[in-house]
Amino acid sequence: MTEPIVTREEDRTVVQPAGDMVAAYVPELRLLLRDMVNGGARDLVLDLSKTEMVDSTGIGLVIGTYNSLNRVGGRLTVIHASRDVLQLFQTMRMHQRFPISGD
Amino acid sequence: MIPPVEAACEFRREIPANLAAVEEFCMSMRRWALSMQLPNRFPVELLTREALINAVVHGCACDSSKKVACVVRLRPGRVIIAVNDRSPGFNWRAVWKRTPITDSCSGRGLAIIRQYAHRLRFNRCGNSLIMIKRLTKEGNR
Repeated sequence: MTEPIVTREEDRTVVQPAGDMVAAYVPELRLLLRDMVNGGARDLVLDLSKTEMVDSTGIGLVIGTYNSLNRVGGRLTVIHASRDVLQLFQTMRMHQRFPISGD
Repeated sequence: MIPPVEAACEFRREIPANLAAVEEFCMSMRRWALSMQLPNRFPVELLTREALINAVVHGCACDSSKKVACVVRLRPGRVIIAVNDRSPGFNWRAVWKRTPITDSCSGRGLAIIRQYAHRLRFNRCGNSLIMIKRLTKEGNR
């Protein structure tokens, strides 16, 4: 899979994975997101416009990133989730913890 | 060894127990499901992924010398997904009704299977799982 796209807009950091957030690709994405938080990102946006599938490992990554940001007073927002991914996140009650929006 | 089969209504593979093989399987299955114009592709792929990850990670400890078999069968109004490996299995009864801890980064695979499958059955030792997903025109759960 190609590299995620990272853009910075003032204090906000937007990370757009290049594809699915699934077990095979989560380790490299985890390193990137960890570096972002350790590097000072506090307003992190996960843009899922290129993500068709998220599995339980990908959900774990999103929760882990939220936990890391929460510990340092930061915040996580998920945008452009597909209808299926949005429904999965809602089923897993992730929308109760941080903002998640669809296409 | 089970040969690859992509007959009209069945997709079958035996893969080595590693995550790259799971990904390759799922992408091939996605193309097959598209070619079959299968509705509810997302939940079918999600169920397949979760069952395969369980077998590869928990059943076979990601040991590529071990094999995991998976078959996805299209039947009128439903899809049957069967995944099995030759590991000793696991005590699924002990974790079956466990609710994922809200802050935990893991432990959601079985919860997803419970939510998305209409029917499912483990064998006694827990190294074989059959799931049935009813196909619907509306909604993907």
